[in-house]
Amino acid sequence: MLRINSEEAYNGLKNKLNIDDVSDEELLSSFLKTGNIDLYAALFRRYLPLMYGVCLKYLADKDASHDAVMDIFEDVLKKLPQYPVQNFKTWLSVVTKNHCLHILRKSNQTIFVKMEEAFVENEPFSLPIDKTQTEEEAEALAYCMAVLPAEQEQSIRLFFFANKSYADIVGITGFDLNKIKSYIQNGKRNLKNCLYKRLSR
Amino acid sequence: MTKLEDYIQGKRHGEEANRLEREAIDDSFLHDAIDGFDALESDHLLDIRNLDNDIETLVEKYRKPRIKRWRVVAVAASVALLLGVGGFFFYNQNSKIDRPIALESKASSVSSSENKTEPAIVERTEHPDRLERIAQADMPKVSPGKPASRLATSDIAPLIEQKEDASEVVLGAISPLAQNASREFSDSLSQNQLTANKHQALGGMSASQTSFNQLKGKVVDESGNPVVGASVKLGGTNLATVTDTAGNYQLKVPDLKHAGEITASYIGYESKTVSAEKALSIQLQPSQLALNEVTVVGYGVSKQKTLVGAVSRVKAKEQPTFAKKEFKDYFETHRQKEMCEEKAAFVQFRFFIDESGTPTKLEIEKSNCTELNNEVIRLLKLSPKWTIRNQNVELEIRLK
Repeated sequence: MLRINSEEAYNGLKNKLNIDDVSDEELLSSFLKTGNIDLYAALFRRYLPLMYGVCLKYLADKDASHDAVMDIFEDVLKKLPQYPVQNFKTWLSVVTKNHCLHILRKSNQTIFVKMEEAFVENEPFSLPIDKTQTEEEAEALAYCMAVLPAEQEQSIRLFFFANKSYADIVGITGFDLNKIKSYIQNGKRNLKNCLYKRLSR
Repeated sequence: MTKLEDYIQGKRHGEEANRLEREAIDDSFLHDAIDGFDALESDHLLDIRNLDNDIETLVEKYRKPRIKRWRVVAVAASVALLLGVGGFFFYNQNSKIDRPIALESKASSVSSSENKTEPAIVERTEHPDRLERIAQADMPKVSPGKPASRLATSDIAPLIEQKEDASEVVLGAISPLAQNASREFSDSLSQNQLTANKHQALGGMSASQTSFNQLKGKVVDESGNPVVGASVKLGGTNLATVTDTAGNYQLKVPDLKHAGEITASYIGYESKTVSAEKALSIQLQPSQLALNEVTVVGYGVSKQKTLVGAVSRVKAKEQPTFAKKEFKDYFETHRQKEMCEEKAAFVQFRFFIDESGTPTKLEIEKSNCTELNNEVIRLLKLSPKWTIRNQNVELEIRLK
């Protein structure tokens, strides 16, 4: 009886829309309702390249990463009914990373982490570049860009305003790729602090 | 996702690439994934496709149990039915049929085993028997007159072993007969040819044995290129040769069939010993031991005026050290660029360097950024081996 229900739900979803157009959350709740493995698989596979890439980063090994993603598939399948998952992508990203770190700790014999004062503050911040700017914002942005160190200013301008890729910027400026990444990161942080100060005055 | 695939494949220019990179700045999932793909060279798309296929197989496994359960039930039911019906008939006819069948089957198994073993035994017992007559050698425990057909199957194995013993004893006995042989090598060679001939004369069992006794093969390096001038030696003997310009070698061996082991060696490579049957292609791996020092030593005493050569000492470059400072540099160059919003992100940790130079037992003492901790764990794992051994290390890293 349950099976028929889940098939109905699955076909219903398929008929209603192309399965690619269904949101993560919709797929997830349908899976939890019906237990249809195909719904879960469709959801999981959306993030296969991302998960595999993250594992490559941590494990630096093709086969180990392959196995890790396979394990995560079964892990997540077990965990999903137990955890109220709000944002599947974010949650999966954390699960993937933790899984890989767990493997690293295991292979490093008894690595264990004792954390004191570990806190994370990670507020998303978007530059007022794409948004329509007020006159005040535009003035502040121009000012803060001008006071940035030259390399940071140049990298930020090319990356955020001229839509150039890292590789493009290497070609234009001749800077080292890693340097460009850190110019952009630091520049963005400086810009944010500067804008915050100027606009809240 | 196709955007990401393009990017992985190296399409790094233009607005599409920029859009993905900007997305990655706010999306650590994407960011880490790109880092991962960039860190390793491989056909990532193919690897992902393989992974996808394996996931599909896994999904299939989860779909199956329902069907399987039905199958198990069906099979169990039919087995039960068969047992029931069969048991009924069996029980009814048991007393009448039981004995004759049992007897018959015993008889047939006995006769069949005899049929199989008989010819082999005849051949093999004959063999030592005739050799014995030639050499008049003493062969304990073998009773040649014993009729083969009376031997039980379990007797065959020891008999074959004894045969081997016997023929070796015979060889020893023949050697005085090979009067013209002056050197040990030609001795053993001619012995072998003698035995080879005899094996054939006796309708012998050594079809694989050639009369040349040349072991041929090739020595290659780790990437399959021929190794020129590698020495190839037959284990336990003085028989050796070197490979030619194509890496090939030919080695005359006394007994091709029982040649034993062959060792190939070459400077800068690990010596490799393989059994002669597998000696067709020997692959050497580069030696892990560093050639620290090559000292050219002269023997004998030379007067100053007769000494024309030069003595020099060449020291190999020192292995670069990898310790605290180097790790900090390594960390700085390899760490993820965008992390830790805190202004003064830091981590204090300690760990132990084991005897192989690998960090273990990491303890994070103090930290104000989880991302930083994770990077420490990741890069401790990936970094080169430390050049210090068996030591505790304490370290603090502050992000600039």
